[in-house]
Parts: sequence; structure tokens; C-alpha cells
Amino acid sequence: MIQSLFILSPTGEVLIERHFRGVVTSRSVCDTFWDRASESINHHGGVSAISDHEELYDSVPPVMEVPGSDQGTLYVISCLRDGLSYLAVCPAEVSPLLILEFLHRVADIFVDYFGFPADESAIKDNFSTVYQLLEEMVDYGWPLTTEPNALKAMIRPPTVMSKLLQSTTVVSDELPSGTVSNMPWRTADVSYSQNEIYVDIVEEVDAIVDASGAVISSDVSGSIQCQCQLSGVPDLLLTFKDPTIIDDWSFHPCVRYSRYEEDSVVSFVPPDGNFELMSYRIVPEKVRSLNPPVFCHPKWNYGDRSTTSGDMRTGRVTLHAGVTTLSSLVFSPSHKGPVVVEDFCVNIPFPRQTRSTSNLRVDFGTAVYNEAAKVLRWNLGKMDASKKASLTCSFSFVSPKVGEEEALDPPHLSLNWKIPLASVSGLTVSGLSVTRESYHPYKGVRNIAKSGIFQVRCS
Amino acid sequence: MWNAADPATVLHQQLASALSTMGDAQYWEESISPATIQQSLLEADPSNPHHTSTYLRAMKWLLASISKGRNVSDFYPHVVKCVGVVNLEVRKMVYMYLVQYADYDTTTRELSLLSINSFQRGLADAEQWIRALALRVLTSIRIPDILQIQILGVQKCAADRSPYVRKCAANALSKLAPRCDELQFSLLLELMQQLLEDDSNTMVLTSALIAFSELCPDQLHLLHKCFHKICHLLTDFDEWGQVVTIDLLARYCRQFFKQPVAWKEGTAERIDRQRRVRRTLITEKNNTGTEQHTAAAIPVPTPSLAETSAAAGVSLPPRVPHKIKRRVVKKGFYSDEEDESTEEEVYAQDTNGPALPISKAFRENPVSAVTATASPTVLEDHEDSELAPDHRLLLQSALPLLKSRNAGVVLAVCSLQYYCGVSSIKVRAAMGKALVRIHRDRREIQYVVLTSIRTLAKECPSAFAPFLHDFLVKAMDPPFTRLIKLDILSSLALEPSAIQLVLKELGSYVRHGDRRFACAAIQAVGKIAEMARIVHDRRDAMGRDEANTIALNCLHGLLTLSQTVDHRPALVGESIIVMQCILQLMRSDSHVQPVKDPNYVQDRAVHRILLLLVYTLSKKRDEPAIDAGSEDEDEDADASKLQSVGVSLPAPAVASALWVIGECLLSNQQSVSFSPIFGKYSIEERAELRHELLRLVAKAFPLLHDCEKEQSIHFATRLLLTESDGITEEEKICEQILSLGRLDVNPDVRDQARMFSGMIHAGGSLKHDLDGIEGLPLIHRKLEKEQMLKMFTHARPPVSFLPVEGDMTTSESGAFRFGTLSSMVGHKARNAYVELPPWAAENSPSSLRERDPNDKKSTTSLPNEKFGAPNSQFYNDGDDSDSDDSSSSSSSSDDDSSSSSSSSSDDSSQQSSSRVLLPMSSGKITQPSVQNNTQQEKLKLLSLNGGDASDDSSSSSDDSSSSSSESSSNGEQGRLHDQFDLISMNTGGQPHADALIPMHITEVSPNNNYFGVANVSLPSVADDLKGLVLSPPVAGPTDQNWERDSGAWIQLVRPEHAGGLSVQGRYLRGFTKSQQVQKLGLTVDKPSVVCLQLRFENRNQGVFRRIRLLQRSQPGGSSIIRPRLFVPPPEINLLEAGKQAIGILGIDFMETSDRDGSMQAKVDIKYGSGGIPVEIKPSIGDLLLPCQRSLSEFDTAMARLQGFQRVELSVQLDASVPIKDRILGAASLTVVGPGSDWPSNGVLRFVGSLPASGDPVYILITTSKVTVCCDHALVVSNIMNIIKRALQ
Repeated sequence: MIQSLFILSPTGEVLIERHFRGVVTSRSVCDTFWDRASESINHHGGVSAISDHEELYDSVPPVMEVPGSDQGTLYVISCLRDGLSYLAVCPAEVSPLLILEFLHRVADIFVDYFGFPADESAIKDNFSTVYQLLEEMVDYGWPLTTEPNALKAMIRPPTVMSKLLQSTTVVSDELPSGTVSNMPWRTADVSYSQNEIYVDIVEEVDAIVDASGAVISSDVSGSIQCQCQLSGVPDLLLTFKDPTIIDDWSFHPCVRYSRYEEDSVVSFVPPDGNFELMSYRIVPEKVRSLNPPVFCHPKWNYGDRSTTSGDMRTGRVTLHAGVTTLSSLVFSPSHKGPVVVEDFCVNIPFPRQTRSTSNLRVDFGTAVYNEAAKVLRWNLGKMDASKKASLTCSFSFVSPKVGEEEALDPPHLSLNWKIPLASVSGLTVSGLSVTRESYHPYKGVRNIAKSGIFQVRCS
Repeated sequence: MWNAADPATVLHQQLASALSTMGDAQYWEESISPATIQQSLLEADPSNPHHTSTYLRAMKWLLASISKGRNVSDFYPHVVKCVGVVNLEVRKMVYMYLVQYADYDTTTRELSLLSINSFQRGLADAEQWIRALALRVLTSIRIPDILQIQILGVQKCAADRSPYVRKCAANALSKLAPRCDELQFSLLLELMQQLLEDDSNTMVLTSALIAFSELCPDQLHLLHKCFHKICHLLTDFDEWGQVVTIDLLARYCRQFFKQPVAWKEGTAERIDRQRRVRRTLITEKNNTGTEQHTAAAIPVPTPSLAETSAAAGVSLPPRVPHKIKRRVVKKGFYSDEEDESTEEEVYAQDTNGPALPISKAFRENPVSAVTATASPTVLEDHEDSELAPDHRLLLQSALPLLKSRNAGVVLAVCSLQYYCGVSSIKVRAAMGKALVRIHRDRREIQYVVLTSIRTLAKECPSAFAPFLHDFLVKAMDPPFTRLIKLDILSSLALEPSAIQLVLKELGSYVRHGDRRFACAAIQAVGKIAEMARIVHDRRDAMGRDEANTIALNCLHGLLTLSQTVDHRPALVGESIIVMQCILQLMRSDSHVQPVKDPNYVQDRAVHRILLLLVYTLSKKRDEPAIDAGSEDEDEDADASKLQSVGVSLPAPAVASALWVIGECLLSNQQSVSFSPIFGKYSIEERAELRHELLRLVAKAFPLLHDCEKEQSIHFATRLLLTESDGITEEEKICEQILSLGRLDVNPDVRDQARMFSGMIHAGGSLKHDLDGIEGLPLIHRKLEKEQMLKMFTHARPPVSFLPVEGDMTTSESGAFRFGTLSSMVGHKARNAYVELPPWAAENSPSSLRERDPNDKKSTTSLPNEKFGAPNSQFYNDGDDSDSDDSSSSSSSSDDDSSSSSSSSSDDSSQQSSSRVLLPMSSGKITQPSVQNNTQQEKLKLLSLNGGDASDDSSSSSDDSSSSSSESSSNGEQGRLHDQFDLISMNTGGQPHADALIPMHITEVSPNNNYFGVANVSLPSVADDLKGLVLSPPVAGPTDQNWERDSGAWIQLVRPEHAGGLSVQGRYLRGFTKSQQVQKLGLTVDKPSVVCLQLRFENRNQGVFRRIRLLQRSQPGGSSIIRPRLFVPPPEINLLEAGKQAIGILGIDFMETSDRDGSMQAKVDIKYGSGGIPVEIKPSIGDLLLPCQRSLSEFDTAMARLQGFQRVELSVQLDASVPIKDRILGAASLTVVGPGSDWPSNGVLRFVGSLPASGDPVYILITTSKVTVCCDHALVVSNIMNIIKRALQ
């Protein structure tokens, strides 16, 4: 159970404070937390250097013990989202995962209500809604209502119009319906003039590739994202062409588990709006034979110690990147022409000892060096196999001193890319049928393959 | 407000800028003064809706102040007045403020009383969520005075009709509990129990269980009565409730069920036990026998263990000879992962395990599972068969939740399965998969999951071995997960291929920028080198060479590392320590099987260690390093190198190095040593080296660290013992070191020095420096030098990184359950951590968990049930009564002997089957007594299965209580029919079902002329019997009546949607309909009754079990007519591939209507545990009633109906098409006049009457035209559409 919930800004300021069990937790808990956090502020300065995750600080364990408050030992379970630290203060034994899942759910709801990113300004700008949401989501420290559709039936998301009205003296007394349906994830009485449902099968490739391009490990995780605008209470049935590809899966609570176990069909009454229907892992055989569609060969040269003057040294990095013709992706029938990789981007984090960069040259795309984060972002955009790209850049850095226990981090590049209408596993939908409602909705299904955490090791 | 003429872009910009000042952010600025707020609150009037914005502003300001940490309690008097404010948003904020400050001081407490009235009004509000809100806030205010009011409020809301309110009432229980006295507390307990036992809404149950975990987590016996319900509904709980509930049930399970044999002895556990690499402290004969270490552990200071605390060598009790137990590698769960070592059959050496040949055990590859020569003990299908049924039920209902999207739920299920389930391969593999899946979540979640995996990977590595790749460290992993991943990787290196992979990975980790991580990676190298030996030994006798190669490679890698990361002393130090371990490891049995070391890696390693040691020691006394080892050419070369060594080792590494070098330098003695190492040095050279080193040590001694000092003393002692002849110089230095040690400040160092010197003195070798030794008592028996030598220089067992078997920190008893907060922080997190109770000695009787029938009755009478039950049944397949489930579980256990299943079902199902008969037989019986008797006999026959219960039922049928079938609820009745027909079908087809008919036949009223003039029914027994004989429950395809009296087949369920199950249905009409309707117990002549014949067909390869129909709850829509009574066909127990089954479904709708498709029944067709929703929507054509018209009447009517009442359609009809049959198939019509001679005559006439109004519908079809006439204008086009479709 959560005794208190705090949300801290990226500078450690308390934005939201809420106590659920009648006990007021002193803010010194937050100070203790922040002291630990600020010790390990990431050297990339909170800018997402490698992945989409923001890493404001590095090494605060998500479960932390704060001894010696006026209530004895307290436990802080925390997570970091969009630069904000969500702190749940627990007085006693509780499943830490329950709390962590809940904190992330709270953050998800904020994104849902206030848009992405739900950062400091979004919270400040909507803090009264935040408090109302927390009031509905938690009762005496236990999660109460966490389904977005059910919450929206009770608390109206802020809209331009409502803000406008509030700024004038008119306040709408109209209440949301507040109906509690027997399916907590679905709003009662939904009605659309245009009934449509879009299904995206997104497969993300996580991989570790060494400098020569050999795949050390790879992993594919798929998810099915739905955007659903259907009236009434439709009952949907999604069938796959080859469900044996799926090795392990998890579902949104709306899915009937047993149907999948038996027939490998996904039968569900969808929530309204956007949601993730299921996520899955594909069978290992498929993953092992994975051949990534892009390559990037890095070469780091740190110069020689003896040739330097003082502590400063000059290094040089050379990259070759491109699209391979031999990828193992499966393309949709509607895909034509050569393989085109979209949003191709290489992130090159420089060692923290780097002082400056020079002679940056690329023959394709654009490259921008972020001085504060010490990250070079090479944006290649759209690319196909006919093009080759290379980048060279020199950098000067302070050589680590003997005994400093500081090393030049072996830089790990990360690659982002996206290939529409392609799939790693070849999973395709063979049918999506709607029952219980008489209309015939517009149905759209597509595959997307993209990078997850796609990392190139340079050492 | 905005100029409409502005271009849209401008508007947007203006909007955006306007909005930026409009959000709540303004309240964070200090622009508004508290006085203004106070003033506005004073002036505003809560009941005036125009003042809402004033309040909104004030409350937002107050909330923002709270957020900023300011105390705004002085506003309390103003705010408390606002509880009645009209606007709900404001009211919510007022509530939040009140809860925050109500208990602040005496003034606020008193003032709070003013607000209570408003909450009580809220509790009576019509809106459910306002009631809930009022209750939540009311119970959150912690003022002693209102406790009684609060309890009353909870009591009231616990019986609310809305489940949401009841949920909040359940939550409120735990809010009030801490403030209650004993009496009040027992009241709360009672409320909780009532909610637990009587409510079946999952929302409510979830909260009630959470309340249970807060109120009385130990009184698990209170869960008996709702155990079954919880298990059945578990999948429908919300995610958060599932976590709490599973934890509760795990403890319940331990307390009330006995430990299953397969818990410790499951297939997976047995494989893992042989697979995992452990050390044992037990002395026993070792079957694999390649390793026999019987080294006496001598209490010499163990070097280098300060950091490597994981090395359990420290914990070895002294003087206990121990062996390293080596076991043989077993096959993993996933056949493709492992290689060819299948053939070896290994005998488990465990105390209780019978010799167990484990061959391949597979999950995913049934083919090879069959070919594997598995002994019966390996077959896992039976592993859970010995469990108590309720225990099994619990485990099975939790298992699907491994697929939850919520990581907390998945982990809770894993915990349940691990601590309370069987350790079968199937379960363990599923757990492994699920955990690996959820570990890919966000980094905080990943951390917790990985910690759990780390614990599990040590116990059951096989479950995670296939996922080794998933644990490779990625660049963006935060430090806390990196270390855990490393741990997992090293405990999974149990196969040669895995070892290779892990070592390759470690090669890149050891240079990591994070010192702690790099050091841990270096330690892992040592651990892997050690494991590699065990793993290879298990595989074959020649494996040792491979293992040695691996160890040498590791050594070489570390050597290189120590040369390249020379600016990072910690790393160099760590690698020295691990190098020492590996050297020792290889040396430990080199006398048995010498290590092939063609590249002299060991020599080079020792050399490097020596260099580093000398450099460090010389640095310590600020002596130019060039002094060291300048004696010979080699050392000269090294001396210049020394300058570039440039790194001082940390203390533990120095100690380690000192030990290694000491070992090497003493090599000319007979003791076990690195004989090949330093082979290139002559004895003299070695003596020089030794001398120089000794000098360095002595000089640096006062500056050394404790562990270094201890090692120096050890070094000096050994030297004294071995090299004592003649070289007085050395002796002197050694004795000086000892005497320095005897005077050290550290007691440990001092004691060691004193003891060693005392012993040497007793041996008579101490000559020079006797300071502090005089006081020693004389030892009478002189110690022999040989003995002493043995004591000090005997090879010690190598330091081991492996966990010890039976170690308390890894076994269950000593540690916290994985995934708990306590396990994360390493201590009991307050007293809320409840340990798992030990297993019960015996299974508790299952009758504990049965509910009395009486109880049940009271349940259904509660208002809860009415509102809760239909909701909660969404998606749930096994949520019927307990009896239903027990019969299903027994029927699913045996394949085709379904008759035995019903007879073998337990008490509860008998009870319900006896109750089945009640409503049937209690119909109005006006038959002659003879009939009644035969009926009773038949009843008896039927209820033979029911045993004693049959007497009850027949006697109560005599009573002929007037409660007819209408009095029981729909669902109940449906189920009763199920049960009844189940019996009748099982006992061999038709005849028994007929037994029912006499009861209903009486209801046939004489004026029921629904079929043909000649067939006006006569109320005679004979006639009834005729109907009886004519109506088999399953229609044969040859039955003419059925074909004639039914419409066309309609596809209800397409086989591709239901895994091959096809369901078709057709509406019955006329005489057949009334016969069937009678049998179903519905009113025969009502137009609102429809009767469908259903045809189930299995087009799949497998079988379908338990096909049944359930009515779904339908909201009362405006235009939809819902069913009033719903009589599903009997459950089909088993439908084999390619087979068909037929059933009759009867529905009595609330009313009938002439509008097409306005009547609708929503039905779920369930099979096994799947189901598919179906809508039964009779078209107007199917609803038409038969009516008679003469030819002339027909023509007259047709002529009369014109305009809107008439629709014509031009068609071109082919004479060969059987038009009449098609029309009759599509709609329930009667032919007027001669119909048989089509098409020669050229005209077909049909007539039917509308169900609601009774208006006749006339249809005239010629070869070129179709005419439909009816008084009802709307119907005309509907009918025409039906005809059109039929003709196409």
C-alpha cells in the first residue's frame, strides 16, 4: 500500500504531494531520495543519449530504504518518467512490482490526459486534474480505478474549450456520465458516426551487433496496437495466418485468455480509443536467423598517448552505415520496390572526457553534435540499399589519469530505423470480424518493423 | 470573443498564447495573495452557481499551496463551508483539502463536524459514484467523534446496489479498522466476511480481499467458504487485486494443504538438482569420482577474501575435510539447446532420490519425448494428480495469469507456483518464459524482475538457460541491473556453449567504465573457470583438458587485462586476485593430471604478479623501484618495465600476490608447488628474488594493511621453516617481520604472529628476535619440523566462487520470498511481511470449502446478486456454481464414458440434479393417477444417479408446490435443464427425455389450432401419448415433420471463428414447434415463443467438450425486445471430430412485435473453456403465424390492399426452381389453394398472420411478378425483402 505519493520535477522540486492513509509523510524523504539521485546525474545531462528512455540519473535503485524518519524506516519505490520522478512511499511490505506497475500506470494516464510528454510543465498546467485523478486512482493507498476509459467517464480530460471556459467566468456544470460499466476498460454508450478500427503489428528488434557487424544477440518483441472507434459493445475476433510464430504472449485484460489457448484467436471487446491489444515474443528459431536490415561499422581511434601534449589527446571516429540487401524481413504483399529504411538515425555518444569535436564530415544525411550531452546524432532519413553513407569526426579529450578509476567508456552506438509494411516474423492477420453489432466498420491492418534497442558495440 | 474573419492560423496562434496563460500553471506563481483568496471565499455563496469560478480559483490556489509545501490550514473555516458547493469539480477539491487538514488541530476537528451532514446527503445520492465519493471522503476523515457515523455509512454502502459503491465500502473497512475498538472491529470483520462470501462481483471481491490482507492476514480459515469462488473468478479480478489475492492464497495453500511430493521431486527439480553447480559440505562417496579433494583446511589466513565475500571458502569450518561434489550434466528443458550428451544415465546421489535415469525431458518437442526412453517417473502428466483437488484448482486457475500484461501479477503467479506448486517441467518452463518476457519492461520493473530471476536461476537454471542471450548486458542498462544480469549470466553457464558465450561477453565487460561492474565481471571470470571444470568433468573423462584450456584462456585474458588497464588499480587488483584463484585451481590437482600449458601462461601470470607486487611494495616505502630485482638480466629488463607498470595494487591484491609468490619461491621443497613455474630460474636466482622480496616486505611492514600483514607473517613463517639452513640474513628478516607482527596494533595480526612464532620457537628455530616471546610457556613435546611444514605449506583447497548446497541464503527457509519488498531490502519490511507457513501435515477436508445450500439461498436473495452477478460473469467460463465445476472437472478427466462422469460426480452435483427435478415435476399435474404413477416411476429411474435425493424429489413432487419454473431465475432454470438433460442423454438417447413430456403435455390447451384443421388437439391421454412417441429429442434426418415444419438453416457460428465448431440453427414451426415448446416447458400458443433447432458440427480434428449455451445479460434498450425465458438445449458433453449433434433452444420473448428484427436474444455458445457470442434475431418471416384463408377470401383481400399496403416486384422466375420450398424455407407461411401444380398453373399464393397484430400477410407469386400485401405498411417491404432473398 502506498502511504504517500510525490512527483518531483527534474530539479528535485516537489510538484505533487498526496497522502492516502491519513499519515503525512515528511518531505525529508524526498530530500533523501534526491540526494541519492543527484549523486548520479547522468553525464549526458539527462538528454536521451542512447535510447528513447530519458536517463536523468543513473543509479538510484527503484526500491530504496529511507531509515530514520519520524515513522521509522520507510521504503521509497520510484520510477522515472519524462524527467519526473514518481515516488511512492510505503510503510511496510508490499509487492514492489505492484507499486511500480501502478506508478507507470499513473504516468501513462497523465500522458493520456495531457499528451506526450507529461513533463513538468504539463503537470503544473493541469495540477488540479492531476489531484482529481489521483483521488480516483487510489483509495487508502490501494489502486482503485486505473482504466483510462473508466476514468474519463468520471474526470473529463482538459480540452482547449474547457480551459477557455474556465478563463472566463463561465464554468460548465455539465458532468461526465460517471457510469461504471461492467467492463471497466470500456466506456458505456460509445457512439461514432464512422466506425473504424486500425491494427498495427509493430515488431521491435533489439540487437547487439559487434563492430564487424556480427549479431551477438537479438530479440524480437512484437505488439499489436489498436486504434478503435467502434460504437456500442462490439465483440471482435482477430485471427492470425500463422499463430505458431508466436512463442509467448500477454494480453490486455479485455482479451479472453482461454480462447487464445485453445484456438489461437484473439477474442475481445475492445476498449475505446488507443490501446495495446497484446504483446508477444516470436519463436527463437526466427530470432536466431535474424539478419538486420541495416549495418553500421564504427572505427574508433584514440590517438597515441605518447604523441600528445599534456593530458589532451585527439581521437577520430569513422563510421560506415547503410542498408543491407540480405535482410531477413518479410514484406507485406502490398509492398513494392526496393527496401527503404525510414527514420534511419545513428546516435554516437562520445566519452565523457571529450572536450570538443572538429572536422565533422558526412556524405549522406545530416549530423549534429550536442555539446551538452556529448552525443553526435547522425540523421540519415530515408535510405535504400543503393546508397552508402560514411561519417568522420575528430574529437579531443582529456586522457584519464592513472589511478583515477576512470576509463574511456567504450562507446556503444545505437541505431534507430523503421521499415513500414515489413515484419520480422512474418506474422499477419488473416481476419478481423465484428460480432454483436450490426455495422460494418472500416478495418485497417498493417505491419511495421522497427528498431528497439539496437546497439553496436565498438570494443 | 474571436474575430471570425481571422485566418485560422492567426486564431491558432492567439489561442495558443491565450491558453498558455490560462492553464493551472498560474497558481504556481506567487501572483495571488492569500488575502484575496480568503476574501473571495468569504464573499462567495456556495449555493450560487455563478460563484463557481471564484471557488474554483480559490481551491486551485489552495491545492497549489499544498503542493508547494505551504501550510494552509488557516483557511479551514472558510473551506469547510463549501462542502455543499454545487459544482462537482470544486467539491472534489474541497474534499481533498478537508481530508488533508481535518485532523490538523482541535479547531479543524470541531469544524469538520459541520461537514458531516453534507457527506450523509451524498451517501443517499442517486448517482452511484457520488455515493462512492461521499463514502470515501467520509471514511478518510480521521476524527474520533464520527467513527460511529462512519461505520454506519460503511454498513449501508456494503449493501448498496452498485458494485462500485460496495467496492468503496470494502476499501473503507481497512481505513476504519486502525481506529476501532474490539467490538467495532468485529463488526467490520463481519461486514468483510459478508462481502467475501455473498458478493460475487469481482470489483467488490478484490477490495474485500485487500481489506482481508489488512485486517486479519492471519485468519486464513475465513477464506474457506469463498475459496472456490475466488479461484473461479481470479482471472476476472483487476490486476492489483490479483497480486494481493494470489499472495493470500499462497499462504492459504500452505496452511491447509499438505506438501505435494512433486513439489520437491518434480521432473524439473530433479533435472535442476543435477544440473546446478554447487559445493556440498557433506562428506560422502562421490560416484563420478574424478575429484577427490581431502584437503585439511588449516586456519591460515585466507588471502584476498575481503572483497570476494561471495567466495564461500571462508565459511568452511576448519578441519572438516570436504569434497566438491560434482554431478553430471543433464538435459535441459529445450531439446534444441543442448547437445549430444543424452545417452548418459546418471544416478542422483541424493538421500531420498531413487536411482533416476533421466533422459531427454522435453516440453516443446513431443516427437522426441515419445522416443526418449523415459521412465515412468519422468512422465509429468501425473505430477499434479496427487494434489488435493482444491489445491490443483488454485494452481490451475492462477496459471493463465502468467500471460497478464501486468508484471506484478506474473511475478505473483510465479511465486505461487514456485512455493506452492509442483516442480514439473511444464510449469517451470512456463514460468521461465513469462519472467523473461516481463523483464523486458521498463527499467524499474526490470530491476525487480531480474532480482527475482537471479534467485530462481540459482535454483532452477534450466528454466532460464534457453534465454541466456536475453541477459546480455546492454549499454543502456543502469548500474543496478547490470550487476544482476552478470550474476544471472554466470549462474547459467552450465553448458560448454553457454560458457563460451558468457566468457566472450565477460571479455567486453571487464573493461567497462563502471568500476564495480568491471570488478564483478573479473570475479565472474574466476567463477566461470571453476564451473567449466565441473561442467566438463560431468560430460566426459577427457573434459578436464578442455576445462584447463578454458582456465588458461581466462588466465591469459586477465593477464592481458592487468597490462592494459594499468591506470585502473582496482581492476588490476581484482584481476590479480582472480588470477591467484585460477592458478590455485589448476594447481590443486596437477599432480593427478598435469595441466598442459604450452604457452607458459601460468609462468607469465606469476611473473606479472611478481612485478606488480614488487612495484607496489617499493612504492609503499617511497623507494625507487629500480632497487627491486636488479640482480639478473631478466630482472633488469623487467626493472625498466617496472617504471611503466605504474600501478599500485590495492591491499587485498597485494596479499593475494604475496601468497602466490611465496608459493612459487618455496618450490624447491617437496611440498606441492608450482614446480614448472619459475623453472627457468636457478635455485640461486630464486634465492636472490626471495631475499629481495623479503627485504621489501620487512621495510614496508608498518605501512601495510592488515590483510597484507597477515600474509607477510605467513610468508615469513614458511620461509623460516623451509629455508632455515644457514642463510642467517634471511632468517633475521623473517624473525623481524614476526616480531613486528607480535607488536602490531591489530589484535588479529598480533595473535597470528604470536601463535606462529610460538610454534616455530617450540620447534627451536627462532634464534634472533625473541621480543615478546619469552612469556610463552615451555612446550614439552618438541614439534617436528616436518609436521610444521605440513601444517603451513600444505595445499589448501582453491577458493571457490560457487554457492554452497543447502546454504541458508539461497534456500527457502532462510530467505525472503522472491519478489517481495523484504527480499529487495534484505530485512523484514515492518511486520507486514508474513512468512509462508509450513505445509500442513494433512490436506484439510474439502468439505470445509463447500458452501451449505442454505447459505446459497440467502445469497441469491441479496440485492447484490441481482446487480453483481450478471456483470461479473463477463468472460468467465467457469463461474457457475461449484457443483457445475466439479462435474466438469470430473467429466473432462475421462474421455468418452460420459455416463460415468455424471454418476461419479460428487455430492454437490447430486444435490443440484435432484433440484433439477423439482420445478419440472411441480407443474400443474392434472393427470389421472395412473399416469402420475408411471411418471413417478420414471422419475425414480432418472434420478437413480442421484441416489437418495430421488426420494426427496418425488415426494416433493407429490406436494405439488405451486412454485413453478417461473419462480426460479432464468439462469438457474437453464442450468437445471442442463443437468437434467445431461442425465437423459447420457443414459442412452431418446426414451428418457420423454419422461418429461407428461408433465407438460397437460398444459396444451384445446383451443390451440395451430396446425391444420384436422389436427385440432384433443385433450385425451392417447393423443398426448401420440405426441410423445412422435417427438424424439434428436431429429433424424428422415423425419418428414421436421423438414416440413422448419425454416432454412442459418449459420450461427462459423467454424473458422470457433476453432472448427459450426453451429447452425433453424426455426421450428407448426406442430413440431409446439411439441418441442411443450417439452421445454414454455407456453405453446404464445406468438412470442420461438423455437430453434440447433445443429452442432465438429469440423475440426480434435474433440469439443461441454458445448453449452448461456444467455448473456442484455441491457434494456429501448427498441430491443429481450427474452423473458431462455431454455437452452442440454449441454453436449463431447463432440468428436466430424460428428454432429442436435439440440432444441426455446426462447420466450418479453413480447412480440411486427417489426423486423426487434426481438433479440444474446447468447454465448461455450465449448471447453472457449466461447463465442451469438445473436438470435428471428426475422419477421420466421415469426409469422399460420392462418387459413380460402382462395376467394385471398383474392378479395388482395384486391382490397392497394397503395402503401402493396408492394410489387417484377421477376423472371425459372420454372425449374422449387419456388414453393424456398419461400416456405424463408418464412413461416401457409399455401392457399392448390400449390402443388406450380408452375403449370402459374400462380402461388401464401398467407400468414403477423405475430403481434394478427394482420394477415398475403403473397402472390406468378412467373413474372411477386406481390405482397398487408395492412401493415412497414411489414410489406420487410416481407418482400425476405421473399426476394429467398428467390435469388
